[in-house]
Amino acid sequence: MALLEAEQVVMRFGGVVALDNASVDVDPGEVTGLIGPNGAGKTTLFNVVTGLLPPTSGTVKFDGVDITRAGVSRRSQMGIARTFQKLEAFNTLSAFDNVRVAVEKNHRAKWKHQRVNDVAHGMLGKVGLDDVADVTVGTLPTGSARLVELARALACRPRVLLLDEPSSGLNEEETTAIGQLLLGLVADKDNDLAVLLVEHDMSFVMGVCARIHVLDFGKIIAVGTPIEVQADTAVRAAYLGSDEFRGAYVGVDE
Amino acid sequence: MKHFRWVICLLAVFALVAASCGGNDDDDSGSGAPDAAPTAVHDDSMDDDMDDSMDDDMDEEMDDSMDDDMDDEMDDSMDDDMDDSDAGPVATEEPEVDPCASVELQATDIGVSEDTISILVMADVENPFAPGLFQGAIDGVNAWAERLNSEGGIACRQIEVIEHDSKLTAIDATNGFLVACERAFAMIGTTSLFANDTSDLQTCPDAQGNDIGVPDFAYITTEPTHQCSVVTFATSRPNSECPYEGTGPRVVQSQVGHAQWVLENVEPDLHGLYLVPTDLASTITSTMPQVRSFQEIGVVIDAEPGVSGLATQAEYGPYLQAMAEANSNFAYTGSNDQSIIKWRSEARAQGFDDEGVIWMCQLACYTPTFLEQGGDTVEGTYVWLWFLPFDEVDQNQELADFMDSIGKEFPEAWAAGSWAGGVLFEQVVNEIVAEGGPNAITREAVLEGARNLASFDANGWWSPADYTTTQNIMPCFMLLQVQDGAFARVHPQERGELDCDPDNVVELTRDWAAEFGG
Amino acid sequence: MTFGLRRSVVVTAVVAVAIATVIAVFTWAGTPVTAKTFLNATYIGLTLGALWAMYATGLVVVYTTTGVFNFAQGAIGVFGAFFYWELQMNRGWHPILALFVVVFLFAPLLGICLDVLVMRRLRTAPLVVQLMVTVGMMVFLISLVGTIWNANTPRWVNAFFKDSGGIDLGPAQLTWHRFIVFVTAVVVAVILRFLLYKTRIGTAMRAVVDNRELAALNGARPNMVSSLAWAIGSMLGALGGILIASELEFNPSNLNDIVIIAFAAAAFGALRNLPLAVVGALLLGLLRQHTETWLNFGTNFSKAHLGIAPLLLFAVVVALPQARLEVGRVVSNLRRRERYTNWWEGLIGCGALMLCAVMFSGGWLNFGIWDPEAWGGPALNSANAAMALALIGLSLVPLIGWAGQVNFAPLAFAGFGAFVYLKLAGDTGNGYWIPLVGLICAPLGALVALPAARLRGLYLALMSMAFAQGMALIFFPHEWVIPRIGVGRQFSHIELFGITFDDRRGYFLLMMSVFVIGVYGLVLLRNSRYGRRWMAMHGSQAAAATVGIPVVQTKVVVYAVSASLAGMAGVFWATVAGNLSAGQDFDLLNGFQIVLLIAAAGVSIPMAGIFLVFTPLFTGLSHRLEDTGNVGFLVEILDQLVVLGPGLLAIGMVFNPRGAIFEMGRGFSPILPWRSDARAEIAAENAQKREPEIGELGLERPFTPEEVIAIDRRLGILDEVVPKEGYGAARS
Repeated sequence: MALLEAEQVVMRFGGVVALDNASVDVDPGEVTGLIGPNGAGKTTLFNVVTGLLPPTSGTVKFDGVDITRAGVSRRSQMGIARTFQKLEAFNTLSAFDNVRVAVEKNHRAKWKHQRVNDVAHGMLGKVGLDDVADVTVGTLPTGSARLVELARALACRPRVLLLDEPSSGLNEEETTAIGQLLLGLVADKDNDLAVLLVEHDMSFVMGVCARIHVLDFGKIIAVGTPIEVQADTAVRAAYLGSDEFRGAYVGVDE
Repeated sequence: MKHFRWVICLLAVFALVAASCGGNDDDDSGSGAPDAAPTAVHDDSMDDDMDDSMDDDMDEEMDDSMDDDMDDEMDDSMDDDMDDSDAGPVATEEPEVDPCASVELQATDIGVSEDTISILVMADVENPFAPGLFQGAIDGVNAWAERLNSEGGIACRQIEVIEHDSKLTAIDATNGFLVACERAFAMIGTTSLFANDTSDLQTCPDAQGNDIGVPDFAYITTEPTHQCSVVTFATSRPNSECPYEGTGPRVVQSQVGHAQWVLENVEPDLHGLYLVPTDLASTITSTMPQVRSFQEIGVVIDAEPGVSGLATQAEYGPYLQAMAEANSNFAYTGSNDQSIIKWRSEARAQGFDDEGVIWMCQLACYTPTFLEQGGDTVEGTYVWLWFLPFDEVDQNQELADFMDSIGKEFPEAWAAGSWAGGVLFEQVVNEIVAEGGPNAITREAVLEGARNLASFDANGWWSPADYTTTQNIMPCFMLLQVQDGAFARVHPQERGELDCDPDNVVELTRDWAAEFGG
Repeated sequence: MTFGLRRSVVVTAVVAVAIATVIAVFTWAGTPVTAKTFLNATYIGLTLGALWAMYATGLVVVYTTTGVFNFAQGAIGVFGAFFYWELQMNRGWHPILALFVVVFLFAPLLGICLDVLVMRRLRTAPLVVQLMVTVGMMVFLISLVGTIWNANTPRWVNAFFKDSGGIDLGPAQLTWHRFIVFVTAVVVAVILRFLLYKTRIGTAMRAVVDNRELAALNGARPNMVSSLAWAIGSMLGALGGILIASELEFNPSNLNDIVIIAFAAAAFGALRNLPLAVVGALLLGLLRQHTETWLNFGTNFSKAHLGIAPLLLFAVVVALPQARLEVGRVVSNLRRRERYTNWWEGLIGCGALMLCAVMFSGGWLNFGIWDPEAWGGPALNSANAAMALALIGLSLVPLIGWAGQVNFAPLAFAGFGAFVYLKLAGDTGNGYWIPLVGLICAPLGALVALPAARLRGLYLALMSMAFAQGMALIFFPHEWVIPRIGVGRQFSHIELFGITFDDRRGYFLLMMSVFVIGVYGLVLLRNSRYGRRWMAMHGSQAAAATVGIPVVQTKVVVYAVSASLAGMAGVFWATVAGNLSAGQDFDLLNGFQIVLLIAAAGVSIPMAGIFLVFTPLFTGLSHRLEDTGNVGFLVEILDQLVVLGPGLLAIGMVFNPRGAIFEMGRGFSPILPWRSDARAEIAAENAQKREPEIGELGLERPFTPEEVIAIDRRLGILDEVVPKEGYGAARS
């Protein structure tokens, strides 16, 4: 059984159907991709899974428990963490405090000040932001702020990590590093971590994902390994003319 | 961000300017200010205004109405009136004998120097939502001081007016008391609605360090703490027992002469509505005694609904319904001119038949606005006063002086009230000077004099009032009626007369807060 | 979801009706029920409702198209009404001409000016800034009207067709003026509904607020749309102001008070639904007039009928469905770094403040303003009053400054604290009760926040306003709550550590000590996990929730903390005054002023409270100048500044949302020897200023690759990511 399952999720906004019986499952120990053209409903699905949006119908299960009606913070405490496509950093706090807030909320209350700080610094170190720890996040470049969000999500001790376009705003090396970091995290059996990744950078997706769900107009049109997905005609049709997918071919061909 | 730095810089610059100017000011006063300009800047501008506008308009006006025989008339009326004025003004009018020349004047108490007496006038003026509110009270005192100074001053000294704005806040009212305590000999014309704490006023030390308080010749007192202040002598007399703790029964006197007159002369079966102003608890408790007193003399109160100053005209509709249900022939408001205008406009709007209804209002309706805004809607409304109306300048010298000095065709009541405060101060001081000379004036002597003043009538302009107690209301009244768009005297019919029948006053003891049922 | 909405609405409605019935039964005045009485009340109620509806539609139009809730709507009406008075009554223009000029020329112009100069900049601003600026605009416009049209001159506006009777509708009659009002309101609502939902421009107007960029792509011009909305809103305000003017005592605050009722009506339509807002306004009018007609509340509740609007707002807030946490509203790219005072800096600052206080109270530091001989009285008295407000202001720091939640009811909480203290300590003045006062006030804060915390921040602000109104109209006037002012003080001097603080100097130092302790406590609190958590919630509620912070619960807790602090401060406030007057001290506008001043001062910094102490300094300055003579114009300017200042300061937050203290601190901190970081930052800023501006580059020649990188970096755009090998290897 998958760790996180979204089953037959329907999300309507007025007359617009953003998600149409979309089902996604995420397993621990690997990175699962979620791709699709702009407006396909990827972020909406994230919002449904994390509880920011109540679905019109369908269920979300975490570790076998139905959490469709659970609040956002409750889900977070269960182990669902995420980053956002459009930055949602705690702007007036420093990078370090951004992470520290998450550490304080998700680790033992008895922890001494020092230990909280150590963990927070550790998280910042993982994403390579040691040197801007004391800088107010609102003044950081977008890419760095995105990394702060990642560190903050990691500090929640997640069992499922939902990443919404983590590579946007990062340069090549940084993107590579993030990819390595993710693979390292899921490979570590102690973490028992599942990652669901929304990404436009196809080479990144194809590089790190074990399985990929393809979303188009709110429907899942394909599920499979990167190679299977790229071979899928429906996927090709959905992406026809889209620049996004071209990168993927390049990545795979090489 | 730059804006704020700019504001701070400005603040700093102003502070420096103020500091340096302050130094100069102190130097000036130290070296003895010249007699020529003892009053503040504002007084000068007042002076100009009066010279320019008022002297032209007013004098012509008065000339027309009085046929140049003011002096003769005045003497007559003074004799007619109940009390004769004191020797004070007369003494200063004699130029050849100068009682001041023989005395070396001294600084006898706080606010009194060799050549000036500082008095402080406090009123609610500037506030964000009704700027200029009681400016009239300040104008009244300035006009009074101006006139007195031009006639040679008082106690061989000139009056210097310190203005203080209490800004409709309790804190600024207290500040006024504190400034007065430190710099003024007395307060005159106090018109502050939120003088909620008078302890500083009552315990202010005099030059000897005795905590005797500052004499406060106020115009209005709204709260028991001010009404019952042992140093306050309000010209609109409180009519209530003191001391009073704020709750429980209280002896209160009410003026009912106007209703009595209507009962006797217009409508013996008087019954109707009394609107009680409910915006402040104090307005309720100060209005209810009159409602009950009306009932005492036989007026039937069909209903006594509360009314807010914020009420729309439409909200007067229910009062008319109540009147229609009870077939009322009497409608009285304890609120202001706007209240009766809205009430009667609504009556007209609803096609309410007010034939035979007696509409009545108190001093608050004695305004030009009432006539102008009300137009023919307010025709027939009765308004009662406790002083001679402003158009009877030919009947009373004090009123004539006031009208001449204030520079307005139809001044505000608080200008009259604060002027009367000045006259009261004048009378008390003149008595002291007559007895002990110009160096006998101290706050203590003034307090003593005012506390023993059994009758003051602003030289015949106002109803006489007893300043030895707070309980006795002014017994006299006169009744006006709006006729053809003007206030016309209906009782007493004789110009210059007030009705002083002792039956005008009803005394009741109740817990007034509990009386209002809405 | 829809089921939940319906259920909550039904439950709230049933409960409200039940409570109203009970109240009606107990306060029945016994007026005979006749068709005439009933119809009269109904007609007049509908007229009043129609007037409020005009204000409410203006609010809704502006809110749906620009996302700004315009607290200044009533003030625009005041301005319009006074301008109409100037033209029609003062200059004798024909009413129709004057009406046309005001409503169709002046008002739209005013609206467009407001939009272009101020409101447009609020689109992306945080809620606190939006609220402060519009409330500041309200205070500013009202005081401006008071300045232009001196209140000493009595004014009034005649009703239209004043003398031509009315129309008979059944046994009752309706004047032409009221008939016109009702018809106008209905027509306006219908036209606007049509405009918004059936026309291209209307669709564009509604689209712009949701997604400005997308709407712009589809051909809408966001700036034009926003100006149009403000013009319409302003026209409605002016029209409402003119039409209601003849029904009221004509003064700015009276005319402005109406808008608070319109807020409730707008809330009834969930701020976006025009027809519902109109229904809400009519309902309020009917309720108000029928209450007046049939019910009777007695001395202690003499203003209760005015409390209907706040109560309805309360009910609406309770019934509204839970709001979603918004994403994508975080504005990034702060220009300035945020640096928090640490514990020892706090100690130094507090020490310095205390030293100033001691010097001031000792008369050694009189700011050159107070007469050296006279400082002891008025100066200390004003300072005490200001200190009490500063203490109340302190309670807003965690709430507004850190958690980003607005509370317009600090005085209501303070008053409640004073009331609790009065009941606990009686006339002993025993200061040891104060902490208990704080404990008792906390649940009240939680109670106020609870229904609104699940909604968007604006509702919490409206809720606090309704609470302040309700308390001022219904709770505080009751004799049992705040006794009538008697001869002595209601609130005895505080007694602590065996000392009775009955002289002003001692009291000033006591309050300053409390303030300093409060400031220091807040400094520590901000550096604690709770402070961080609240600021995180301010930064992004959605993100805060996803790291496990329960947002609703946290809001309620902050509100409770704030209420508790305000309650304790209220004890000092009440004892400074000695007496509280229910009619005066709890006026909503007083609360607004405190919130505005402290927000403009920089509410995230605890020390900002001390800014409130500046206000009486201004006043003192003007007095002092008056005494020195010959500077009349300076006095004038200062007096105007005192009157117009609070509003202007708050409007200034458009340009400087973080407040004056923050900027002053930035200017000041490089002087401190240990603040090398501040000096470095200034240096970096100066260096950055020397960097070429983007506009200077590449206009006459193609960009060089270095320049492209530089520009991208400045704009925060990422480089095109060229696909690369490498991940595959890592996976295997």
